[in-house]
Amino acid sequence: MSISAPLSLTEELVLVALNDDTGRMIDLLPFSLETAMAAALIMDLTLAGRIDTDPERLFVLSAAPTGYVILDEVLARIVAEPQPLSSAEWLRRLAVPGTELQDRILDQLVQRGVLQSVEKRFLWVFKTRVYPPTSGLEEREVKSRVMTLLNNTDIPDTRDAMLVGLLRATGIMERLLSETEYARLRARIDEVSALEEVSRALTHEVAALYVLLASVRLPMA
Amino acid sequence: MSAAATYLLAGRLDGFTSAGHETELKALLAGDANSVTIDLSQLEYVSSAGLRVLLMTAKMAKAKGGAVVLASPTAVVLDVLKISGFDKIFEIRS
Repeated sequence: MSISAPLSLTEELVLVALNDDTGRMIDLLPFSLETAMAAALIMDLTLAGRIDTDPERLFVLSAAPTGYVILDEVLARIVAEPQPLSSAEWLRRLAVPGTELQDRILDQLVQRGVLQSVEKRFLWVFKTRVYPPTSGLEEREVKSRVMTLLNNTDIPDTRDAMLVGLLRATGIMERLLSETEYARLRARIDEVSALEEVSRALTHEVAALYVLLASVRLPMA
Repeated sequence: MSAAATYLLAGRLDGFTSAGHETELKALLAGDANSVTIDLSQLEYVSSAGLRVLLMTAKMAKAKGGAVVLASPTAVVLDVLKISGFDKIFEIRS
């Protein structure tokens, strides 16, 4: 990947999931960002023409490398799988708990000059790393694209529809909009998110996470 | 001048076949036509990449002041269109 290459969907997702003021990731439902990053990787491979999906399976169109290291690692895993699996199964396999993938994406964004990497101290002792935006231009562009799409009735571009699906499933969309705006745009958000099979699989997986977490948090009868 | 064209999609519309259909549909809309009726009666299978060709065509037609009509989809294809919410974007004629 060259530094000047367009941002991938995975990079855009991580960028929007970052709090500009603190340089830290915003709080989301546990494991939802990991699952959404897995979906974004699949979407990026789709946009690169390497894979295709239907409701039952995800299959390879071309094993040729994309030039993005992380994407090519995922593509190699998909190619190596003897039987085609569903998008949902790939989301489960690729969504690794923890921050390893997120950290790699953040490092990539630092290398591209989109973010800065700043070491801070927490309670004067513990080191922590934060990622404030360099100019904020890229994030503003992403948000502007999403808002333009949601506020008209045009047929969306595939890439933008995918991004809306990612932001909706993670709950980031609700953070970007006021409560009133979210209610006003809810039908459009749902309509655009439903267009892409991977978005629907992601929505299903995150909904299952909600149910699981709710069951864990419920007091014993 | 505006006109409606027709286009037959048969067999499978997926990532292996979509590029050829996309080129042909673009060529149709690059001419006089601003609307296309796509005959799906012989289409057996459509994947996500195939659905994107339909979306792209609808976007192009809309930009020219026209529309895309999806005609006579088989039950299997109609299910996929509905799951994806395409019945809200396209006129689907049975």
